[in-house]
Order: sequence, then structure tokens, then C-alpha cells
Amino acid sequence: MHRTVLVLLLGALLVFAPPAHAYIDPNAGGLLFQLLAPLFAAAVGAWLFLRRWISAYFRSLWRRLKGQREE
Amino acid sequence: MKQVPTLRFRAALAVAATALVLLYVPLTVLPILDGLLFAAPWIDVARDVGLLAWLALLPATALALVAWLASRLLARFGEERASRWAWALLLLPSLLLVIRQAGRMGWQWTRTVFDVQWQLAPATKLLVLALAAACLVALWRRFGPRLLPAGVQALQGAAGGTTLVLVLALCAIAWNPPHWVPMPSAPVSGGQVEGAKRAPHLIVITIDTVAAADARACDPATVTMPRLARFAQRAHCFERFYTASNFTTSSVSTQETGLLPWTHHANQPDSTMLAAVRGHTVAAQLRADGYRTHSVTDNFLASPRHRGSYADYDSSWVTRTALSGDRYRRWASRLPNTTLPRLLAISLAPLNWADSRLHRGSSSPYESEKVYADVTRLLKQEQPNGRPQFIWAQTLPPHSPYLPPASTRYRLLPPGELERWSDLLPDNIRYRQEQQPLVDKHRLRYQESLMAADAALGDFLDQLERDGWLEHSIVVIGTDHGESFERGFLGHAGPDVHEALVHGPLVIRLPGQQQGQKHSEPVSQADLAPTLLDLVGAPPLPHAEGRSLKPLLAGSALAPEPVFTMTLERQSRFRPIRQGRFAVIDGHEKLVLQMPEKLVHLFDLASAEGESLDLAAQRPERVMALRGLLEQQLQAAERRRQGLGP
Repeated sequence: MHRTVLVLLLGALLVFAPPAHAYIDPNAGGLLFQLLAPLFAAAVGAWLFLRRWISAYFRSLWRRLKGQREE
Repeated sequence: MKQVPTLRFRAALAVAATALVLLYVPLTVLPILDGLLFAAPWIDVARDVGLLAWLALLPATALALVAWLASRLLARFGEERASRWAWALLLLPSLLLVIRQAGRMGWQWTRTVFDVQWQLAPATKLLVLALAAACLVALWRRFGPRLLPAGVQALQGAAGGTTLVLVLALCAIAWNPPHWVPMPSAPVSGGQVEGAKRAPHLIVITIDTVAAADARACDPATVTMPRLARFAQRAHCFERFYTASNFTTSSVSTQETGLLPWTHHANQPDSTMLAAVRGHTVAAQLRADGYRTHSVTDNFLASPRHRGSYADYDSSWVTRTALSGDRYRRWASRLPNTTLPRLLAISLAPLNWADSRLHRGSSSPYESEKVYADVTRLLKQEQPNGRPQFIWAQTLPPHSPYLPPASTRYRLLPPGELERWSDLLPDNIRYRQEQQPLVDKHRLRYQESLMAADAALGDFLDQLERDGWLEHSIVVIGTDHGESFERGFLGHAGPDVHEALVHGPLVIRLPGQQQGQKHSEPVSQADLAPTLLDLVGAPPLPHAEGRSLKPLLAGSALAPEPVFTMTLERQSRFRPIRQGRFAVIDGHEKLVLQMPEKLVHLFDLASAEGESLDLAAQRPERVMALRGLLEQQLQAAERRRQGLGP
């Protein structure tokens, strides 16, 4: 029950973001952002789902660089 | 149930730092990256983001410490349970911030790429809330026990990346170290200076966001600014004063340098002026001529700390506001050659939530009186040194939020509407035609705010008179830009240059002046710096695009000249000038050129229709002449841009 209340409160915080009340950067959402945002999301996603494979690869690369044998 | 690793302080720090440095900081910076790179070289942007990454270690350390202490305190309930709660304590706020920022970035990306203009009604918002909450509850119930260890592992695994980013950030900071400028930036001289120049003091007061039509400063019967109008009766009052742009950074940079926005290029909220023109200011000239130079403002964008000209001032003071987010921004303005204040403000945007609720039902978080109190304190400190003073004060009210104090609230709009911050429409937005009645009510609250700003100004002028400053000072009172409640645009900034946005009040009083005079010829904000320097006999600014109005103030005629105003918010300083809206005002005619579309509109400001009737098709010869003039000026500006460098 407590957990549900907590999650509801967190949800409210997320959805009811206040208005900016400040200068909005007119260039927010420019071309660079349009390109980099999905790349960043892809990189984070790749890390979340492939991190074991990525870690293993770099570990093996490190061992090879140090001249150690694969276990 | 999958086990979480035992919480150690070092591991906790690695996890919190990774969440903030590798996720929160990029999610915060990416949406404004284009704007940052429009205004600063990439090495400066890298350094500033690096500073932000290092600052993120502070909350990360605090979180890790709290989590570690919690794990120690809860250890009596078992190591595993204590670690689980402590990790939850650490991850929950970090991931909440990351999710919030990711949501904002995703929304921004969707809106930009698919050109979506959704505005959710309150009922739809509630529905979205319910759906989001239900999704979160379902996700938590399904994956909650597994999320915690998986999250910890994912973040721990990326800690190497965090270290790498922080090392690279340190290199960028060391390569291009920021300046530290204390506040105030120089000790105040305490004693009489031998041989100090005898010259009038210069007190320049810029009231933010004042539209000429709402102020009517030259009209003694004005309701909104009677104290200014009374002052103007023994001063020079300019009925047609044009600001150089429609928002603070750009227009104030013109006021300071005599250069128009197409030359100084401080055209985005984050911009400083071009490095080559930072010493080309009225303050630099006056200081070289023996003046003490000071800036006092509660608007960060108006401070020389923000725009790069801080080295020309003996002190540049940022007055405190009631906004909690401003405290951090103010602290960061001690690093004035960085965009850290802006980055910090965006990073701490979640605090806005608290601010808007703290000020619910109360008055604006900005108070003109605080700025004037700081100026009065400064004048008292400076009085003994006998040096002529140049003091530039800029006050935010009546800038939004339009929440006037009790002294003027309800004078125009009765109680029951637009009383709280949350009742107001957001700043600087396009609105639909059916919203005009609501926008008209916003205008009434704005005018009430203007009344309060006027009362504070009047009290300050009385104080100056009592303290004996007024009779020995040239006093300039104006604005940085107007405010629009018409033509489908609420607020200021944005791409438009219609009269409400760029036509403001201007009053100049010479020492001992008793006779008032009205001037109806168009004058520009770019004229202010040359005028001030001319009035006190200081060396002129060599490249100023404005001209001295001293002949007018001396009672002579001044040959009419066109004035320019513009907005270049989507124009990078590193690329040829191709984006923007430019207006030239020649007599009562106003030509607007919209680029890159190259659309032109011509208006007769003296006609009853004003800017509602486009005369471009009816007066082709005037369009050709004024457009030719504008394009010629644009070409000259482009040549200057290439010559001045970034």
C-alpha cells in the first residue's frame, strides 16, 4: 500500500512539471539535438541490455593487451 | 529474490555519480546544445558542461553519504535488508530525476521532429497522470524486486565511464580555466581621491519589460506610471524610443555598447557579446575617464557577468530574489565567462516546482525595492571617495509572473482571477485567438505590476533627491524591451518585432533640469551609450552604430535618421547572417524583413490601422528603398562579423 502511494506521488511529480517561467531557449530542439538525442538513448539502451557482453569484450581486450591468457 | 550488493560508501558514490554525470547531465544539456554552440566555441561549451559534471558530484556525494549512514543505522535488521533499503534510498531520487529529464527530452524531441503542438487540457493532464501512475505501479509490482539489483549493477558497471568523463572534463577546465569574479568584484574606495574628475554622476535605470503603450510615460495623465510621468515633466521625454531587440540579453548589450545585435551577437539567452566588443562599452570609456562603474540588477541576463563585459565594471552586483533556484544561479555568476549559471538553472529546474508553490497566491518573487536598496547602499559607500559614479540599475518588475504586490493588486482586475502563479499562462508563448480575453486580463495584472514598479521608482528618485544625488546626476530611465499581449503572442523574446515588443519609454534628465521637453522623433537604444559619453565629455565609442542625442537635449534639431530593431535568436554567430527578423523605422514608416523567407511588410505607424495593415503592395518604391537600406546594413554587419571573430 505504502509503495503504491509512493509511486503515485512520484508519478504526480513527473506529470505535473511546472511552467518554465523563464526565457525558453529558442534553439532548444535544434538539428544537433535531433541527431544526438536518439544516439544517446540508443547508447544507454545498449548498455542496459548488452552490458554483460560489452564488459566481457573489454575485459578480454584488456587481458589480451596485458598479455594474459583467457580463462 | 535477487540479492543487492552490500552498500559501501565508495560503491554508493560510484552509482550516484554515474546516474548524475552519465545520465542526468547529458539529458539536461542535450536539448539546449544547439543554442550553446550558436553562442560559444565548442571548447567553452565542453568546459562548462565539464564544470556541471564536477558540480554533480556534490549531490552525488550527499546521496551516497545519506545512503551509507542509512545502511549503518539499519544494519541491526540484517545486512541484506539494510543494503536493500539504503540502495533504494540512493537510487530512487537519482532515477526519478533521470526519468523526469528523459521524459522532457523525449517530449522535446517528439515535438521537434514531428512538429507536434499539443497543449493538454487539465482533464487530459489528469488522465495522463492516472495512466502514468498506473503504469508505474504495474511496473513496480512486476519488476520491482529485480529492478533494484539490476539498476545498481548497471550503474556500477558504467562507473569507469564516469571516471573517464570526469577526467576529460578536468582537462577541458584546465585547458580553458574560468575566471572567478567575487561579488562585488572590487573593494570600494573609502576616502577622497586627490584630483578626482569633477563630472556629473550617471544614474541609468532600466525597468525591465515596459511597453510604451502601457507606460505612457510622457503623458501626465497616465494611470500606470504617474511617478515617472511627473519626473518626465522636468526632463526630456522620448515618445518614440526603440529597443534594439525584444529580450534582455540582446537589447541590454546594445545599450551598453552602442552596437546593434547584428554586431555584438549576444542574441540567445546564453550568449555573451563577441569577445572583440566586450571592451567596447560605455562603462569601459567612463572608467578610463575617471568614473567608478557599477551594475546592480536582479536580472541575470542584464548583468555584465552574464554578457561578458564584467571587466569594465568596478562592481557588478546581482540582487537576491525570492526564487530558490536563483540562489545557485547567483553563486555560479561568480564564474562570469561561463554558461554555468544557465546550465545550473536548467539542471535545478525541478526546484521551480517548489518556487511556484511557495509563491502561490503571493506577490512576484522579484521586488524593485531590493535593487534600489542595493543601489542606495552602494551610493552611500561610494560617496566619500569623491569620484563621479556611473551606476546602471536594472529591475525585473513588471516582468512576469504578473503578481503585483498588495499595494496595487486589484486596481484594474478585481479579485478572483489570475491571483496565483499557477493561474498564469506560461511566458513567451503564442496563443489562440479565443484566448484573447484571458490574455487581456493578463495585461491588466501586468499594468498593476507596472504601477508597483513605478511607485518603487518614484520612492527611489525621492531618495536620490533627499540625499543630494539628483542635482548632480544625469538620470536616464528606460526599458530593455516591451511586452506583448496582442497579435497572438504573450510576453517577449521570440521572433516578432511588433511595436508592443520594441517600443518603450525613455526619459533623460540633466543635472538641475526643471523644464520638460517631449521629443517625437524615433531614437534607438544604440543612441544611449554615445549620448551618455557625449554628455560627460568622455571619449566616444569608436564603432558605435548609434549617435549622440546631445544636440536634441541642448534644444537643437537633429537630422532624422532611421532606427533598427531585430531579433536573431536562431542565428549562430559562427555562420553568415541568414536567420532573423529585422525592422527599420523611418519616420512613421516601419518595414519588417523576415529571413530566410525574405518576406517584407510595410506599416504606417501614424495611420489608424498601424501594424494591422500591410502596405507593402501599395508602396513598392518605399519597400524598395527601405529594404535596400536594410540589406545594405546587413551586408555591412556580415563583413563586421567576419572581421571580429567569435
